[in-house]
Amino acid sequence: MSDDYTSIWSYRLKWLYTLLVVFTLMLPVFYVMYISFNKNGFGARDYVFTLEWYGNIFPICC
Amino acid sequence: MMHSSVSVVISFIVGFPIAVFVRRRIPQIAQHRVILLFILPFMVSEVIRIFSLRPVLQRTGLVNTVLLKMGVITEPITAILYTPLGVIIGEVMSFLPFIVFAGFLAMEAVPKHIFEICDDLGAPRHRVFIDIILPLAAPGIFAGGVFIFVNSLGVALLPNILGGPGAVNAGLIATQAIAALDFPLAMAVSAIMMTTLLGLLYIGHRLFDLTRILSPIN
Repeated sequence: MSDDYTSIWSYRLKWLYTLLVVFTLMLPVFYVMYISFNKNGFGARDYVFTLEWYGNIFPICC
Repeated sequence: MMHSSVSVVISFIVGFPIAVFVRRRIPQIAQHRVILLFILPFMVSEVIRIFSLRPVLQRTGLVNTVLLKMGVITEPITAILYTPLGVIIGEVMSFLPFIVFAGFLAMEAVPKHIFEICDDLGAPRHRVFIDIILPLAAPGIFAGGVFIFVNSLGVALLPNILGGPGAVNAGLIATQAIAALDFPLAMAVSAIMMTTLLGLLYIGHRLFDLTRILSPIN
């Protein structure tokens, strides 16, 4: 904050808004990553954590 | 052209205040770091970025799930994806950072002491925005707006992935015309797009003198 006129809460709100916009822009990517850890894939009723999809791409064993 | 114009307006409303905030309130040493945050989305391929909007916006997607759980809606909204609204959301999500970058550069034309004078004299915020920021930053704002407009008009990926009936842009028409081996139509569409861009730049230059964008650097 570079002057004495702005209230600290207004300054914090503007920071929050800026970070919220950045987060919103990145949200689809985060959501796709979240889905990629679901065994049942997108839109499934139950979320079962798995690394199976990544295992298919990077096979650990031979 | 309609949804491209809407995208420009929404991007300006959402993005430009951030550029003003960063330029006015953040210490100079940190300004570029904050602006760098808006480069983060570009670390992901554009196709993946646009495609990843599908699971967010579709019937069983994140938006509908959250709204249903909050009790705002009783049944999923189906009018977001595969409609012009979906394309507008995609355009704003894809091109919003550009208005932040352009706005940030544009605000360089507004000397910082002017804000201090306005604060000292007790000028209301809206008068500062309308009388000081807008006229001085107009070339940069215009350049950012044209950039978003032309991209929204030309990027065929967006209506291809997120659009549906009634949600096409010039880029998609040209792409489909090329796929149908209708080259004259594709060329006509491309020529119209180029003429529109040149016309916009000419009008912008006459109105705001676009060379002013580079004046702080010179």
